[in-house]
Parts: sequence; C-alpha cells; structure tokens
Amino acid sequence: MATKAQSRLSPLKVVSIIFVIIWVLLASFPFLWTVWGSFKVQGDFFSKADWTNAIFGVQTLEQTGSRFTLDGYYGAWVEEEFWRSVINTSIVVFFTVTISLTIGTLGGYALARSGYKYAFWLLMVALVFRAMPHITLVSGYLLPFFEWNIWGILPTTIIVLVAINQPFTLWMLHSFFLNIPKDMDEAAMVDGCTRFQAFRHVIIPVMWPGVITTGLFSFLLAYNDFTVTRMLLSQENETIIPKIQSFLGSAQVEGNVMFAVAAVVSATVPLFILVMFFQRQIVSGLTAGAVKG
Amino acid sequence: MAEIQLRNVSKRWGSFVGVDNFDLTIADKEFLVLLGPSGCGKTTTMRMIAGLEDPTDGEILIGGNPVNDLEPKDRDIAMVFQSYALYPNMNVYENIRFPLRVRDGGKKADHDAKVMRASAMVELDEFLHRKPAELSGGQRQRVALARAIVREPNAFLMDEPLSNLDAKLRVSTRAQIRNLSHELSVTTIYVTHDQIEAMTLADRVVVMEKGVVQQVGSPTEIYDKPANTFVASFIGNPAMNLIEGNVSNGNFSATSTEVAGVGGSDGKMTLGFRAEDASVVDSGGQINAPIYALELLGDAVMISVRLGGTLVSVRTDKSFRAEIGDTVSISVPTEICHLFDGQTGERIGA
Repeated sequence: MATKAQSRLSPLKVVSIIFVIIWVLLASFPFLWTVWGSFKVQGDFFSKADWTNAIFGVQTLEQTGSRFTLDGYYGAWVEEEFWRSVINTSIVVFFTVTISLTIGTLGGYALARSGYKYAFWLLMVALVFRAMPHITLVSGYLLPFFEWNIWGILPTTIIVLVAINQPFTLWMLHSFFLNIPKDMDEAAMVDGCTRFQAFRHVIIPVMWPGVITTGLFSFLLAYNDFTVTRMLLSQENETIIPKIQSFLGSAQVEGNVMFAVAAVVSATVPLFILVMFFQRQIVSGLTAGAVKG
Repeated sequence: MAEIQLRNVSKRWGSFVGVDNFDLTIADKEFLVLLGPSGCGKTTTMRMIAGLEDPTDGEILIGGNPVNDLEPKDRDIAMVFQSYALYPNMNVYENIRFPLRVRDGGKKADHDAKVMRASAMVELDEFLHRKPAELSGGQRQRVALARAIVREPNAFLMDEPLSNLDAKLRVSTRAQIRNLSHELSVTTIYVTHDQIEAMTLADRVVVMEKGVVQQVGSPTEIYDKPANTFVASFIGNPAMNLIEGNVSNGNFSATSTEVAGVGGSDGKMTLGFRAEDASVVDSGGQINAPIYALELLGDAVMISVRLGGTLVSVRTDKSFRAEIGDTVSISVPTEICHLFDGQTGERIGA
C-alpha cells in the first residue's frame, strides 16, 4: 500500500529530482572540468581560438600525439618537485592535527566537567580568537620569528596553525563531551578508575565519532591553509597550497598553469578518500546521536 | 562488610545548603533508605559517601576508617546510578567485568567465574554478548546491578535505581533488590523519593527535607509515629490527613470538626490521622461535612470531605455508596489521632 504511494511520481517529485540533478551537475562541473583539462596541454585548456578544444584536445593531439597527456603531472611532480610539498604538507597536517586533538580532548573534557565559572569565560575567549582573521596572528608573530631565527621552518608553522585551530577544537570537543552523561565518568571512578583512566577507558571510546569529526576539520584547516604557510615558510619548505600558487606565477615570473591544474587535482584526491573513509564517523559525529547508550 | 558513619556531615555551595549536619551510623549489613522529595539532599549525601562530592564539613568513616581524602575507587563501594551509566561500547559481559578489570589488570580466568555468578544472580546469562543499546530498560538495570555486585564491595549505594522502570517491572525488581541485599548481606544505602520503595525495602528509613534529617526510624516507626507534619504528609498513600485547628482544655476543634480529649496544651495545633484508621458512621462522628469526592478503588472506597482549605480522606468499605454533596459523619477516635504543634509542626506526645 505504502509502496504504491511511493512509486507514483507526482509532478512536484519530478521537478525536485530534476532540480537536484541539475544542481549536482552545476556544483561538480568546475571540478570535473579541471580534472578533464589536467590531461591536456595549455593551448587546449586555455584555448583562445575555440573553447571546445579543451574538450577534444586538438592541440594536445598535435603536440603529444595523443588526446590525453600526463605532461602537466610530470612537470609538477618531477620537474618542479611537487612531492616535496606533499611531504611538507603531510608533516604540517599530521602534527597540527595530533597536537590540536590531544590538547583539545583533554581541555574540552576538563572544561565540560568543570563546575567553575572560569570554564565559560575560557570558552568565550576561545571564541573571540576563533573569530579573528588568521592573518592577525601571523602579522604579530612575523618580527619575533625573524629575530629568533625560526622563520621559514615547519615547526613554527605548525605552532601557529595549532594556535589558530585550537579554539575551534576546544569548542567542538567540549560540546561533544557535554553530550556524554557525567554518570559515565562517575560510574567508572566508583568501579575503580582514576579520573584519567575513566577518560581513557570509558569516555574516549564513546567519543570516537566526535574526535574523528574534529580531527577532520583540523586536517582541512591545516591542509588548505594559505595565509600562514605563504607568510611563514621558506621556498624549500613550502606546502602544497603555496606551491600551487607559485605555479600560477606572478606579474614578474611566468608560471606554468598546467602544472598548477595538475597539482590542484592531485591535492583534491586525498580529501575525497578521507571523507569517503570516515563518512560513517563523520555523520554520527555531526549528529552526535551515537553517544547515547 | 562495613559500618558507615557520617559525623556531622554538611555540604554547602556558597550560601546554598545541600545537606545540613547529617549525623548517622549505618550498621553493617543494614539496608538504609534515604527518602525525601527531589532536592532534599539525599542524593548529595550518597554522593559524599561514594566520594563523588566532597563534604564541606564533617567526617565520613567506612569500616572505622576516615575516607574523606580517599578517591571513590579506594573506598571499596559499588554504586548503581539512576541512568544505569552502562558503558555503551562494551557488551554486557565486559560491562560487568569492568570493575574487576580496572582493579587488577587482565587476569581473566578468575574474572570469568565472578562475572558468570553475578550475571546468574540477576538472570542475565543469555544477554552477555549484547551491547547495552540492544537491551530493554529492565535488562539494563540488571546489568547495572550485576556490575555492582560482581566485586563484592563493602557497601552498595543505589541512586533511585527503579525510577526509570515501568510500574510492573518496578515491583519485581524491588523484590529482587531486597533479595540480593539479603543474600549478599552487604550494607546498602538506597536513595528514593518513592515512599513505597522505602517502606518495603528498608531496615531503617531516613526522611530528609531541605538538607535536614526529619526522622530516622524503622518503616513502622515512621509510619506510626511521624516526628513532624512533613513526615506525616510524606509517608503513606494517601498521606496522613492534617487538620489545622485549636486545642482548648484538651479538646481539638476546627471547621466541622470536634475531637474531645486529644490532650496537649491550649493553642494552635494540627491534628493528624490516617485515612484507613478513621471510619464512616451513621451519626455522632467527630467530623460532619458534605462529601467532596468519592473514589472507587476496587478493594475500598475513598471519600474526601473539604474542611476549610484542606481535603480529608477516609477509607471505607467497598460497598459504600453515596452522592457527592451528601453529608457524612466520620468517626475519629482519639486513639488514632496524632497531634502536632501548630507553629513548628513537631509531634506532641508519644
């Protein structure tokens, strides 16, 4: 009976389905266009003669003998050593996420369980810092970093990124901890745990979705950051985002746009894999329903 | 196996008094119930014994040792929470085993027998591999009980363990708790706001209100000789009838009420009697008033009359029938009367 009602397509349903399909195509078009174009030469993808060249690869066929080419990827990864930036990004992202999550879980737990008023004010201060533009931190630190001779290296960048990210992780994890009933810690403590054991054996296992969701957002912040990494890293320590920007060149230096396009596609792939892999935890983390026993 | 002593224990948050000067010795193997309305300090008292709350003043001793500075884990007590507080990521077996595991590492062989025994006592054997989310309320409650008994602690603390169960299950689980505590003969402190649970389970009941102990005694004492009007109005279903009036020359009088020979000094007094002690008579009763409501209970009929602002209930024979508004005469002999001071509410006489 119910299936009959469901299988009947009302005009409204048809319109909404068509709308969704168009919307998905529109939204994914720039990305699909870039992926397609990354296998072409610059003369096609940025063709002044005919935009359809980007689709059919006329110049690519002429220059390389095939409609698809890996020249862009080869140039970026091998000639321009894009892999160095990938390693740098991995280091920055790994440490930023690890440090923010460690401090965030411990601090968020403490703030969630604290009965004192200062916990509220600490969170308020964190919110203010969260609202600041990233550049404010960098501009203030730039001079001391030069003077102490720690400019241009990865640890400095990691520290600044953690500082930018920490208020957010603290807030997010704090609200996750608030969702876990206090009874759970207390039961564990009566059962024989110290406060820290209760945290480790009882609270954290329940918190995984929250930790993973927060970790993912921290990952994205560190991975996508441009302001801090551009200002604070020397050229050999560049992470991928400033590296891509340098491929694009500037008014003085001619870049190679196709290297940038290939690098952009390379940089996007890990994000897809990550979200696919953790999607269950992310969904339950965002809805926060999973913590109730 | 331990006696628990509370010596003038108080808990204050700023100017708010949670528990005021609680002084009591709970005998070994005693089943003590802390009873009172919500916010009366009964749960706070229990949490102080557990070590989850620090007393502002006073001393707590378990088995003769001061425990004020001990962590909850070092007090050798087990607690059942109102919300059960099961660990959602562990199955029933692991939940019950947890107190053993955190205390002495992973020596599993010894644990297994204890877990099986505890789960058998609460009839959980077939659910050992389920997660708490896959259990019903009553089953979760039994897991919480099993987790408490598995370690054979000094004392059990139970914080309203039945309040999340439906009425029928509550009755059977209540009997089970009584039986467990008898079987294991462990000192048990049980917090509830339900006076029936208190009456049925307790060796001794502590009635609390606003952080202050109102009366300590066996269920019978508390029922038969309430220390003040608060206890009188809190215990019993329906609660004791309380009529405000005046005593002169040993005779009590209030709206539509005349009871001779109650004693006490002249002045404002409150007269109390239980609904089941009074009876409806044809004429010549001490209270004569029109019926306000008539409720059929099946085994009896409950009649209410309105005296000024207060409702007075009387339990009468199940065949009794009358119309609302009919005047009834209620017999309240002096033997069933309790007299309380009109100002302080304290009981007068034995």
